[in-house]
Amino acid sequence: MAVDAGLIAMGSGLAIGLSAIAAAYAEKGIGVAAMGAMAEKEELFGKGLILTVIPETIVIFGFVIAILILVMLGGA
Amino acid sequence: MITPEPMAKIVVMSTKQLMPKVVDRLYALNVLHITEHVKTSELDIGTPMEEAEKTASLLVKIRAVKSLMSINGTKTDPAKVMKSHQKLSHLIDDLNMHVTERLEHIKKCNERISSLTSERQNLEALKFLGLPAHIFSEYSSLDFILGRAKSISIPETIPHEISCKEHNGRLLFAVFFKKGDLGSITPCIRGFEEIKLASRLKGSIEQEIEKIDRQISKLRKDSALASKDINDTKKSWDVFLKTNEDFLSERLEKMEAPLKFASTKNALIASGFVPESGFSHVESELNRHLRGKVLVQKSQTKKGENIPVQLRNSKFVKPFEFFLGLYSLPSYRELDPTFMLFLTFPIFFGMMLGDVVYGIVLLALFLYLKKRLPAAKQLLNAMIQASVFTIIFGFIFGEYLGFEEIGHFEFPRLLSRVHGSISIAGNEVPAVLAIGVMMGFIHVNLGFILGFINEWKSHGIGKAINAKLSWIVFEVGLALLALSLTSSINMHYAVGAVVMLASVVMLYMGEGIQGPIELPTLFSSMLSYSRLGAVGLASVYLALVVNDNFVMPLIEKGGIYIIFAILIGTVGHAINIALGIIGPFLHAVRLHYVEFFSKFFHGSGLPYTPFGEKKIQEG
Repeated sequence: MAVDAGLIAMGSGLAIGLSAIAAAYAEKGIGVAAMGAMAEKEELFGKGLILTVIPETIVIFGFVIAILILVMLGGA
Repeated sequence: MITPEPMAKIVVMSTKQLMPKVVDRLYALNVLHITEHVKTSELDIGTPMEEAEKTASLLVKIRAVKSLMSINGTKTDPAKVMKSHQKLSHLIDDLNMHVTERLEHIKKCNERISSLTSERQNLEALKFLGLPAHIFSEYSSLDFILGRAKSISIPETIPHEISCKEHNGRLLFAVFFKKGDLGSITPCIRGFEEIKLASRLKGSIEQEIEKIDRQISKLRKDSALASKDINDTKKSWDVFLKTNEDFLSERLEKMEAPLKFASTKNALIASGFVPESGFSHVESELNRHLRGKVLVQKSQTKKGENIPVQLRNSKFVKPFEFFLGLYSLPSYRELDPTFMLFLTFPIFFGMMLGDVVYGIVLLALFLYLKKRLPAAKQLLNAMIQASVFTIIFGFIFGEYLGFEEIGHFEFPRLLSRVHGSISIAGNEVPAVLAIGVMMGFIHVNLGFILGFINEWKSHGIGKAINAKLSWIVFEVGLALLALSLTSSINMHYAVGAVVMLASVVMLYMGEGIQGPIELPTLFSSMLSYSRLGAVGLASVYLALVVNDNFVMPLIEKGGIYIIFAILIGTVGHAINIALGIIGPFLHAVRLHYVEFFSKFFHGSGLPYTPFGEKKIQEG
């Protein structure tokens, strides 16, 4: 039982952790480009910000899956 | 309102002689958005009025003087306007000369000070070496070098006399030798840096240093006087220059306006847009002032013509125009989504943060910032509404600083974010996630309906049905298929499948191959709304960590620990509130821009900029 709980926790941790790495990696590229564009034209702040947070969805999905793993399997 | 201000295209025609008066009137009315005329074989563009060139060069002069004196005041005084170009030009020339002279003087003083300072340093070095000043003069048979070096080793075979001392990690030295030996001496010195004495020394080194000090202090006084003079000039000319700069730039704008007009041999034709409601006023005003010698009429807009957009929203909705400013204005024929933002942004934000105390803190913070930062008024007004919804959702979730209960008293609530769950297909799923997706379903479909209206207005009903309604048909087909497969309704599953297939064909007809390819985004869009619950859960868990792991255990210990508990609690919740502003704000904005707007919004509208006095727009 303890092993099961550990595996569930690891699965949940991997879901959020890996998706966070992916989101961070994607945001890195966009963030750099957005900063570059903003240096040229300050009005692009809004658009740059929006584009930078777009990959955030990945980590939200990861978070949802992590919670679902915990809630659906954790109680089992 | 859900559509931009209706605009009327207008054409104003008059003779070239009367045009200055027409332009004056239009400028005063401040309603006409001029459409620039593009030169054709029949109609050339107008030429600027006389004196435009002179005015422009005078304006450049004023701006040059302003930048020379680094004046950036914003105060103006209508009484200081100088209408005579010639007088103003002379005044500015004199001022320019005066300021340039002062600046040159300051520059010269500074240069002299820096050369004297380096001379002084050299003398200090000599003083350190301890040699009398008079020996550094010209001799008939002797030569010398004075300087700093890393190391010196002159062989005995070359007759010389050296004096050296270590100074700041380097060797300071003076070497005397026979004239003509310079060539054989220099290779013996490593890292040589010569000290040149500016002139032959007359008195002692101390006297020389004192003399230099006197010179430096005199120069400093001189330069300070000149700076003070410039500052005084700046103060007395600040308002005058700004007033005349504004006055001239207004005049220049009027004089150059004909460049945007169409012109024939004797007439000028200005065309552009005014708000529909203001047309009759413009017409009567122009006719009254020019005694009927001007032709003002409405004209038909051409297909595809770029009509300027002026949003019209009520006081409560207006703050949300800020979000369109960050993104893009709707084009004239599109619906204005500001009202939708007003409806959903505060709800999304509130649902994500959802805590009574956090909401109150944010409300107080934004109200305070609104007083301090009038420039950000629009955004702050929107955020104030969002804070109110945070409080409302706080009551719904029964959360107060992350606490769901105090002692044994449990706060009343409609739904617990942490513990509330919904059973979906036999699995317990956190209720907030499911509610988030449901809200996503409603929001995305609202987007399709708005898209349908937009397409209908711009491309006709057929295209609207194929491109936008097909998505909803697809959803209906999918629902029928799922319900018939799970035997929830008594229907053959083929019905649902056929409806889905039909919707895909419609989509292909409406949007080409891109439509069916984008079908999966329907699910990712709706799932993306689960963040409404997820971001909130993250915020709750952070608050719980602060409360359960730090604050409560410390309070239970009692005594001095209560102070620690308060400190840790304050810092922890402050961080959570800071994250709670950034996170929910960005996610709420993003749900609108990416998931919602992509269903109907094209944007790239042309902002309505009337020709006339530039007033600072009220937020």
